[in-house]
Amino acid sequence: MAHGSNSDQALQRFLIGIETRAFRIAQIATGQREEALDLVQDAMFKLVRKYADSPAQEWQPLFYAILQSGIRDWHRRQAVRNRFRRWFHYDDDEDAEDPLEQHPADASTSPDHRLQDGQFREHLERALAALPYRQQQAFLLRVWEGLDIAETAKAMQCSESSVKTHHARALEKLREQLEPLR
Amino acid sequence: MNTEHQPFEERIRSTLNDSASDLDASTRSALTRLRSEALAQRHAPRAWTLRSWWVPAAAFSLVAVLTLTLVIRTPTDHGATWLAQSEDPAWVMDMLAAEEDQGVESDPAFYVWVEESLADEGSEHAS
Repeated sequence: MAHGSNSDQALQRFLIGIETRAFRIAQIATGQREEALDLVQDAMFKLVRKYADSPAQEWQPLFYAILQSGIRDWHRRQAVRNRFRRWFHYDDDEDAEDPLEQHPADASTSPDHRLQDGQFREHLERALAALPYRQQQAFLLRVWEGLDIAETAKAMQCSESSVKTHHARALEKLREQLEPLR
Repeated sequence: MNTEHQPFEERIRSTLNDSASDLDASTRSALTRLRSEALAQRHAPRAWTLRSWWVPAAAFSLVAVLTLTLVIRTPTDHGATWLAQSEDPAWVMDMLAAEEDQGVESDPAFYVWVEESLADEGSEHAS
């Protein structure tokens, strides 16, 4: 079936083109490699299962809507877990998930990255990880993924004005922290 | 987009692109595997569709058969018991007597008739 084969190839090209950025977005949101892989897997499976026959130009916003839904659920579960920890006065510093401490950017530190670009990258990842997650995701979807305001609002399930606000606040904070390094 | 921020955002975009390009081999391999698995499931929806129809259909059929069995069997047993008992003459007479008793006891005219009958019998014996 030629049509199906072409569609498969198009879908494969789309996933190849998006998977590393999607993984990084999920990793910045969660600060954890395995969680990020799970979220990307879920988004890939749902996109292929439900929207493979949709027009190809809709795949990107659909994929990020699914991924954002997964990230949102992950944050909700984390909030509940943190609440239980507080209730039971569970204070285990080893398990505490401080995104600044556990951020994967630390693992990539090498002599090469001690150059100026490397420093900027490290600080950028730390600054992104420290942003409130909705500001972080609005910024990444707008600036990195290139989604327009309407697509970002749809993916994040919020209003377009919220997207603008989140994006502007994220940009302001990032400028404050990263301008000295430029 | 504000042009004032464009160089800054372009720098960030470029840095993030580099970070995605520099992913370690293990993560790249994991992403390739996930992609292959996701694409492979596209050609297996038929089996899933059949299964998704057969399971509820089989469950519904089972429940329907059990319900029909219960509904049909209960009156049949009751009827069979009644028929078996009705073949016993003593049981039939008891049932009829009980029905008659209930009707007579609730009728005040019966007591008037009994008194009159007893009075008539008494007068016949006296004469």
